[in-house]
Amino acid sequence: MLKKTTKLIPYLAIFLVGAACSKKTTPVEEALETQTLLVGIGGDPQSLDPHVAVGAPGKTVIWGLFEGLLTQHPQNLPPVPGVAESWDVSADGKTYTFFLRENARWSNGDPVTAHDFVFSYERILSKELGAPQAYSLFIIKNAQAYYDKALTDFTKVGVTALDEHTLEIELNNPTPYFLDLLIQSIFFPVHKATILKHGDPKNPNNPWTRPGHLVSNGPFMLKSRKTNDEIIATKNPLYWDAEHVRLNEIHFLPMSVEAEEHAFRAGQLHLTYWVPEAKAQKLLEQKSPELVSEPALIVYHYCLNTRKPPLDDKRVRKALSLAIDREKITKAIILSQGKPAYNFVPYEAGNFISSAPVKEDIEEAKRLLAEAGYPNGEGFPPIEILYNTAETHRKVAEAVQEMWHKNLNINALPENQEWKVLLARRNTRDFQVVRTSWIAHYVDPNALLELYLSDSPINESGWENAQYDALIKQAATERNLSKRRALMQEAEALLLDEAPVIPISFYNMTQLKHQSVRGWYPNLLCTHPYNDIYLQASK
Amino acid sequence: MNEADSISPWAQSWYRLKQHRMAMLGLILLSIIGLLCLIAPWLTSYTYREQNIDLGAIPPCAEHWLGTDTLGRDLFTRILYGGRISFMVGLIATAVSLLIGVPYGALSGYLGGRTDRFMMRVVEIIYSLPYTIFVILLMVVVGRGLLPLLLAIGAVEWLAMARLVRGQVLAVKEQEFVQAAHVLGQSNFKILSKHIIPNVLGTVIVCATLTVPSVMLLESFLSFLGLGIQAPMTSWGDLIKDGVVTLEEYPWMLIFPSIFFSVTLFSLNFLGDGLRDALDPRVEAAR
Repeated sequence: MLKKTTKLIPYLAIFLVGAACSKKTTPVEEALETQTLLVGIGGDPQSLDPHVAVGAPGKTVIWGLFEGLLTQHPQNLPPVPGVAESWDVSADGKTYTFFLRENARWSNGDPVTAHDFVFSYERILSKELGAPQAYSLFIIKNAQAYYDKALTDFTKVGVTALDEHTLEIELNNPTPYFLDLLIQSIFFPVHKATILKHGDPKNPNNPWTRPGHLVSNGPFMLKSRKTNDEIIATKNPLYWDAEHVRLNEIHFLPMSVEAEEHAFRAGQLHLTYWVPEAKAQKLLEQKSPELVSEPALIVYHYCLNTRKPPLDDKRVRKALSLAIDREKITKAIILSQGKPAYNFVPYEAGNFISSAPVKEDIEEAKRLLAEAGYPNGEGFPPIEILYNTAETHRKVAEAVQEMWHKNLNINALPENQEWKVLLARRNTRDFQVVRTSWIAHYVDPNALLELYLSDSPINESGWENAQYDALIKQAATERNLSKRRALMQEAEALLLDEAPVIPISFYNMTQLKHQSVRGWYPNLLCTHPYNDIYLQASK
Repeated sequence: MNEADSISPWAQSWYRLKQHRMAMLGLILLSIIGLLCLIAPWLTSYTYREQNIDLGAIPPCAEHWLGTDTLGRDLFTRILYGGRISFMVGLIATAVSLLIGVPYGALSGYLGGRTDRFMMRVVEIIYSLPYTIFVILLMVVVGRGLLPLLLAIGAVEWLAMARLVRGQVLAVKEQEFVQAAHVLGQSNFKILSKHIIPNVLGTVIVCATLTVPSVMLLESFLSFLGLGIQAPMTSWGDLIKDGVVTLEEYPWMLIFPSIFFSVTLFSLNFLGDGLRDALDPRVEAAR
């Protein structure tokens, strides 16, 4: 017996050696050596221009490439010095003076100056550029007048370069959350000479963001970009804080949500953009340490085109909103940690409580629909629900379709499109109902409510309401916090009643994070500066 | 030859088909699945669109024989209703291909000469376009839905049929009985419809039987790309597409539709195979 066993030893040894040799190292394991972060971004960014980009895929990349006056503390959100080393606020709270670092550099070696910021803000406020978030700058004195062409002289706008390294920003009103606003990517500077070299600065398709052209001031710079394949950013040695940046490269991989999950398990990704719901549910039950699911300021909603019949009728929109069982959708399709959205602003946005939540009320919905001329759904034309490719969106659309059919006897047609196509159709208002998730850019109800201002470029519903605009503007100047909140509540109630939007769910940001990723923290805004991230094997 | 003691060619073919075991098995399975789909409304108490979101995806049990999908819809019901669509697409698109392809090919082959060359070049031009891209483009132009889907598939499926029929007609029209008909002064239309087409029918039937599964496969492929049927209606391809995503969590959502689909495809192919043997006149000649 023993003899037999000893005879086996050489074979066993060969087998073991063979097994050891055949074990390949995965990209994630190799990354420990090279400090290369592999990030899934969910889709191919429509632009890498910080002033033009919309949506999470682009912004995830932009956060690595650029840096604003202030940047965000990776763990808890307070703004920390970025390009600006320090700042002063005037006694009336209206004028901010930023002192820029002398050693802040663009990736081509030019210093980052106050003039770059003036140029950038002028660019954003040029209507021709069509910057989707230009409205974020309207708190700056005369900014809106310049944007609306009532004013043609940019020197009258409250952004002034006092000298190379001192920038003064003057606001319309004292805005307590101004510094929080500044960490948004829309406030990032761009390099004037590069943009001018490659064309008109006011052309949103200016090719300056191509690899080889792009000059940036963030911790990383663009190395290569292959459409729908990979975007590689490599460490910027000229970045002022380069010695603290520990990653050497970041690979941004645009993959579908389903593909990401496979890639993650195959050791090809450190971070996913999202996790398919069924998978997340399972991992949650297993208490997987790799699953990160934390509340964020996101509202999953349907945006309605109020310019096209039958959705131009307020009663129809309200009926559609009332006929949805948000709890069912949230519990079964969106993860169970999500919360049904009976209103538009999540509680986490400064402990906001809605004054007029929309509860399911089928009787009222039927009555409104009949009043609008479609008793029991008769004669109601089929409406299209546009969503981008993802299982969750498909399921929500099919559930809503069925609820509208069952409760109101009307037909809806879910229509699936790719992310870029969806954005293009949104922008040209070529839709009836479009799926939208919006992540707030700062922790305040205003961050979500301002999306539906009449002049907000994000507001593709075509809904314009002077009373709503007035309430939001009034809230902006209100210094009494409880009065300000009441104004916000009133505005939200109006939004819910007019229903250019149908809120569906507030959901947790759910991602997969590899154990070796350090210095990355979930937060309410879902933005992650890359400065502090590094990779270390877990013990 | 005495009419009474010879059996008709169709009866002979049927006899030969019965000898073909796989073909008979295919025929039986096909009849069962077809029947199930046909009587679906009486078989289940659920409808294809009725959701039970609270229930979610559950594995097969007494209430839901094949389980439910993530929206709590009964999978058995959806498979049967999906089968209706898949079969319908297969049959109608094949019928469209017959309706266009047979007259087109017959005319082309019969008239010959310049007309034939022109008609065949048209076919070849359409044929040279990448098949799926052509269908997808058509669907983009005509829009989505069942009818455009049928149109798009039918529009490409008739090409093969037309070529095949033309080849057969070319061979048949040289035969003596056609010449005899000419001599007797029958009209072209009559010669085509009474003499030529019935003689190529065997080949056409075989080709049609094999077209049905290829069309069903194409439909499922389009559904898989998200270009197929409009939700909440479903088809087998659509069900399989849904099932793939949750393969690990809810395997039944993939397995059951796949079984139905593959059994049907196999059956159709076996049947087509058997029919080819049964209807081939050369088999008879060899005896």
